[in-house]
Amino acid sequence: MAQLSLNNICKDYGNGCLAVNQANLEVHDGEFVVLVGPSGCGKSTLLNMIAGLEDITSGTLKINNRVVNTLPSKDRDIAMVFQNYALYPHMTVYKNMAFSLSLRKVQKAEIDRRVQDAARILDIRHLLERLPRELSGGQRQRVAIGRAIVRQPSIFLFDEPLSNLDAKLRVQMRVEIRDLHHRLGVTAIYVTHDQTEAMTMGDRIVVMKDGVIQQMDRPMEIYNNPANRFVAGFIGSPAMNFFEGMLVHTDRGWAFHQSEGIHLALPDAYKDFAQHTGPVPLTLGLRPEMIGCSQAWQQRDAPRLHGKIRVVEPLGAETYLYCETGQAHWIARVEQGSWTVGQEVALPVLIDRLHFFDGRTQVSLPLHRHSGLSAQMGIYA
Amino acid sequence: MNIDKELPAQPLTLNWEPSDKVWNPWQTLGRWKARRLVWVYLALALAALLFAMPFYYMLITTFKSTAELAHDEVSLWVQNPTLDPLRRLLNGTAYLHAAWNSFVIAVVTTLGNMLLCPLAGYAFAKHRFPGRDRIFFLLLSTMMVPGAVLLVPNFILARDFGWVNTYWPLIVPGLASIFYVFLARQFISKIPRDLIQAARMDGCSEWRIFFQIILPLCRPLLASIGILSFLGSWNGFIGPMIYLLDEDRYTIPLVISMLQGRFGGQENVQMAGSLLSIVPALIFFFIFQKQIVSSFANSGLKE
Amino acid sequence: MSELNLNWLWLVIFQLLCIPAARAERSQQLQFWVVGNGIEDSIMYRELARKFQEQSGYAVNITPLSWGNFNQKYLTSMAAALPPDVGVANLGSPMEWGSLGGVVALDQAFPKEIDELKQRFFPGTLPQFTFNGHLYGLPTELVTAVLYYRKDVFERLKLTPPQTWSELQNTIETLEIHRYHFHYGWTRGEQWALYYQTLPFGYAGVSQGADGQPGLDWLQPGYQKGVAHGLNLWHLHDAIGDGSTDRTIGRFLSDVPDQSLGMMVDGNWVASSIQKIAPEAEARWGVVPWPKADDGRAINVMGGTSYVIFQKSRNKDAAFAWLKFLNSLEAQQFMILERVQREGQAAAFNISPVKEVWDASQAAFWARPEFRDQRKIIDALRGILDTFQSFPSLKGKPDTDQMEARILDRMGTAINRRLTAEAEAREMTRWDYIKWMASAQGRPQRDSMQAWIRDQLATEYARHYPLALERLREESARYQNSYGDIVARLDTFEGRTHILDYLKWGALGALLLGTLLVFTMPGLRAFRTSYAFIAVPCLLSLVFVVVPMLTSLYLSFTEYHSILPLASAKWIGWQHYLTSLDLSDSENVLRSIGKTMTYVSVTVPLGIALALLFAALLNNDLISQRFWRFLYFSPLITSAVSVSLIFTQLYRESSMGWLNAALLRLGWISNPILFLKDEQTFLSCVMALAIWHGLAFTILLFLAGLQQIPTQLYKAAEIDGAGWWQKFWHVSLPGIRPQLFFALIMGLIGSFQVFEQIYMLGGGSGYAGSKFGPNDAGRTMVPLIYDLGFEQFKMGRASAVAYILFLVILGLTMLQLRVLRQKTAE
Repeated sequence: MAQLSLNNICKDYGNGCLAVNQANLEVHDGEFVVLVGPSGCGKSTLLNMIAGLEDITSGTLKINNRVVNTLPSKDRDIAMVFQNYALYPHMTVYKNMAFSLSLRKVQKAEIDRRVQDAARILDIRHLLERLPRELSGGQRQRVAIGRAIVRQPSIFLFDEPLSNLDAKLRVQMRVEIRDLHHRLGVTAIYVTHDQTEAMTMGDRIVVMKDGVIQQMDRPMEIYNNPANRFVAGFIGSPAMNFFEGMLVHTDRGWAFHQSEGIHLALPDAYKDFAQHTGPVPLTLGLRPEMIGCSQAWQQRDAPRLHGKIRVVEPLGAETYLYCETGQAHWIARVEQGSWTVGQEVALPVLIDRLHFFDGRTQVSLPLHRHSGLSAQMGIYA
Repeated sequence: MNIDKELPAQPLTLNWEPSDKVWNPWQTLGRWKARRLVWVYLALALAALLFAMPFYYMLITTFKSTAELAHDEVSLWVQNPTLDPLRRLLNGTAYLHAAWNSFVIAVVTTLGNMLLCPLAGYAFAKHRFPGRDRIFFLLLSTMMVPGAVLLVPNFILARDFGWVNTYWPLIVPGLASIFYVFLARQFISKIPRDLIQAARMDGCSEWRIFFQIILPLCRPLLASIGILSFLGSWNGFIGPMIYLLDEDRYTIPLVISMLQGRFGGQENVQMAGSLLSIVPALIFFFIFQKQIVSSFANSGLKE
Repeated sequence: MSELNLNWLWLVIFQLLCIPAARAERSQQLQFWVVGNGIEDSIMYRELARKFQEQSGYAVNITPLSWGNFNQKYLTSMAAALPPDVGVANLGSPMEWGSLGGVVALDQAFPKEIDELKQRFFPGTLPQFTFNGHLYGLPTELVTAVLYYRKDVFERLKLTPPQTWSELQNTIETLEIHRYHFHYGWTRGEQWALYYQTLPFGYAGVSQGADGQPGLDWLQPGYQKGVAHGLNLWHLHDAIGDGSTDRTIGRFLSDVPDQSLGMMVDGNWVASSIQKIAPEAEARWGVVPWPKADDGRAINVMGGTSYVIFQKSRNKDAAFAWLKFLNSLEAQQFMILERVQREGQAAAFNISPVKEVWDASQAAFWARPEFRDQRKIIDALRGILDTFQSFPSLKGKPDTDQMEARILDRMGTAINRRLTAEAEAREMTRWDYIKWMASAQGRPQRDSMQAWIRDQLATEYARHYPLALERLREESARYQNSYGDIVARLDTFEGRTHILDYLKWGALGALLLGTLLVFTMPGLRAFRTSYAFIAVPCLLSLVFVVVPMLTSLYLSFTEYHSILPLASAKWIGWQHYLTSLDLSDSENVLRSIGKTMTYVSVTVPLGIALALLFAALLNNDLISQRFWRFLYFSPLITSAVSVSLIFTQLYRESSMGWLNAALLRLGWISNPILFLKDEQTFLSCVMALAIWHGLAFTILLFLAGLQQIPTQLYKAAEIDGAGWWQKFWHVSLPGIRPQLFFALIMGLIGSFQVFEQIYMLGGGSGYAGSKFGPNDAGRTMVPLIYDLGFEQFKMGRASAVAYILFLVILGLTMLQLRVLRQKTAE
């Protein structure tokens, strides 16, 4: 199978900023890596460079320890599934799948065998003689994957393959792709802007922004220990609440204070951290699921977040509350209950799940070096 | 100059079936609609009479005998239809020869444009290479030079090449018209990039991508280029007039233009010439009306 | 095939494209081009060629040319070094071409035989082909005008056949009083037809003075008298029908049913047709020669064509043999017989310029039964053959002829307008007024009209005389200065490098450099496929736009006649630009721009407005869209030439002119409008045709645009309470803004380039004289360039005008873009 190694890869379109800046990434054999980030973050460019569809400005790209920077994509032993499937509209499904093999002068019988195999795996055998325009979105998606499968590549590249599907189908295909990956055992790189897909599908996630890799780790690691405010905000849904303020030392100990009226007393566990950091501007990150959750209600001394409900979003199992405190807006994920708009609430906060970011650099401020919190963190890992 | 902005972004098509999607200014007038529509038909029919009248004149005059023409009155009908004018036309000119010549010139020009313009348009739309936009702009700016300005120097050039009295000066300069390159670029830029990348990953060379992926997807474009360039070449007059010397190389418009001199005073023979040149075109138009109309509509539009 | 192979293959194809195709080789036959009216002449010459081949072994290939474009064809062929060996040209051409080294001076090339050959012709016929003492051409036949009259009609009206001009005038008036309509006049002032009027007075328009300086006859009373006669004849009659091209001057047809044709004023060409059409009337016809001037001088007109041998002919001896054969007794007699025996209108009586044919020894030939119907004309002609006269040609005569043609066109327009106005003031039709003027009552009116014509003519001639004389002398000198020297040393210019060579090398160098760069520079090599894809359009633009533009720029600063080698182009600085902008010059570009502007400012807005109307109408739920669209869009695919040909007939004032017929029937006019003969209406006719032809495209464009507009917008506007007009103004119009813009730009550019319509309506190939309408009313930009470049072959001047056109269009486009950008910014 294949492993992939990116070393200081850069892409310069000559417009003043680098589309991809110093990307370093090791993908192991059989691993499923997800590149995630907002649009324009360079994830697709990076993928295209791996695919050989874009030139690499600098750095080295190795597949199985061989530098492939200038190798044409058809010789890299990779296959790619495109966002809008990229099925040739004038060819039948069968021809679409067979096309690359026939270009490689594979024997007819062999082509047929592989296409039939792939079709069976994907359950699209009855569609082989149709034209792409006669297929539904999900069927097209399958054909696109099938087209990649028949080539039996060592690396699979997916470029936002699910973004054109409706929500329900997306969930279904997500599972199927993951399952397929297990069955085929190939190396896969998957690009998406959807953090849910990233979290659910990736063995590892690579978060990118403005051409720079922000963080690269297993999904829960990224969820629990985001490297910076961007990653913290990007991963997790609803997104993390951020409050800009500073740590203050009151007579009852350290607290986070925000000028709009948010005031959270910090337990002793944060003492070392607070003392080390001091009263500087910083950003507090608080996941919605930490506000008003049952666990927090159970803690008697949990600090409360005061605010007024603007919007109530009942989702069934849980309810999102969009609240405001002065000018600050925040979201809480609570259990169902009789929440009404305009209601003044004081929700308990699960205090051992706080994230702090440097006010200037927005880099995550490490807690565990200064406190005993690390042990507790462990339970979420 | 932002060319993309100036032109309609979507390919234009006409609806051919009556549908409520078509705006009908009279529809909203409720019960007056039917009566209003009568006026529309009336106005259209009257104008159509004016539109079709020259063709009708041509048709009946062709079949009038010389004796009938000599009558000093306007007659809207043929008394004794005769094929004599047609016979005299075909005997007196190399008409069929000219039709073949026109056809050869038009077909070669058209095929050239249908191949070369999408090729260049594809490169300009989908390839990234040094100087691409600058070259494209330079090419576009050559469209600003009116053809009339090039008459004299192109004649001198053709003479230098030994091209006078050959078809080359009528074919070669128009073999890859910049206007169609522009059209092709517009059209091909709407083909998803993924498709080309997929083909590249499948192992297609650029040539194969062009012939196996792009061209099959360009059918409407090819129809437009084909129809427009064929008609442009088929109807071209000033070029053949300047370059062609021998009668057996003349094209149809050239033959028609000389009927006034060659059959002076024989209006019926002159009209027979017009008839023979117009009727096949009308039949062609009748059959391929939709394609031709949409070609002109999308052509972005050229005379 | 691998990508690399394809690239190489492409490179090869691409380079092949660069190699000019091999020069078209003509067969080894003797090439012979014939200018004629019908195909009958070529058939006749083919027969002669067969006989010639039997005698000499040389094969002759015959190509027919039409009157209108033969000059352009001959000059093009000479310029391209592809002329035939022998050609039939019109009268002035041998001198014109000979002085540029295009045709052979017969006395130099065949000194031994020329004297004997010269002896064969009536001596009065040769001076026209002589220039600087050299003979460049030989007459093919003679053409003169004769009068045919119906003896019985003349007897009834107590008329005698007119012998002089005054008598002719009286005869015509008498005929008109007795309801004989004048049909088929030279109602357009075709300048060459003046010979019929002025030569009897002994004037040829230009003459070589005793001091060797060329002079103009314009101010001579005799000359003006002749021209005034001509104008009376052409215009002061009810000319139904129009300038027929069969050289019929006129027929007087009675509108009383059985009294028919009273008199024909005719060239000998159509002579035989009466006999063929109405043999039973044969006995009643009399023929007399063309009237003499009142003072009794008898100088007869010589018309017709001439034979020339071209300088580039590769077989001059064979060519000369063919020429001699054509002038042999056998060939001449064959031609006379053949022409007489043709069917219907094509029959003609050919006046041979060869003395031997008319010799008493040939009595047996003339006694042949084929001439049974020709006796009268033969007898009439026999007496005047010795009086045939031609005058030496002069350089610059074509220019003064052009100026004179314009004077005559203007006179014609003025006379016709006055005639119509006076007729309408008396509430008469034109025809009634003419009859009335010919009667005793109307006599004073007629005299005053004629006096007015004489005065006008004298004023016009006096006004233009100085300029014309200057132009004549300038032109004579110019030829000598610009070309005389070159023609003398033609060989030294042949191989010399010229501007185009440098440009070609430059382009080739750029091309090779580009190819080399792409294939060697690593930065570009990666993109070689992309460059290969765009190579052809780039190459074509380089070769067929950039190189020509530079060539043209250079030429616009030179004096260059394209018959001569390109190396002979002579640098003269800004002179062409200055002349082109000089208002006194008849070919100045400003006047053409003015005409173009008139054309543009009418056709474009009117076309757009009409198209909007029809597009709105067609944008309905109509039954059978296909049918309506077929009707409205069909002009799209028709060629401008074919359509224009139809319109030339619709615009006529005879029975063929449906437009006049309709207007008369509706009672909107009482006299037919001389649509294409009046310089005021000519351009309007072109514009109407252009709008008709261009409308389909604009309607289509707008209709497509209208259908793009989402219906919701209309619904929303309706909910907002908009009426029909508001919806049109606020939703439809903004919705088709791109199409409007496009129609405007394209209409503008297209209008600047209009040519075919003007060429065809202007008579196209049908006429000599003003090519683009009366007084060149339709000579907009492109016709002007074409005229200068391909009729007069003044390549330098044409280039200068083309550059001015280019700048005007460029300026307008820039202006439009700027206006558009401003509007977009708002």
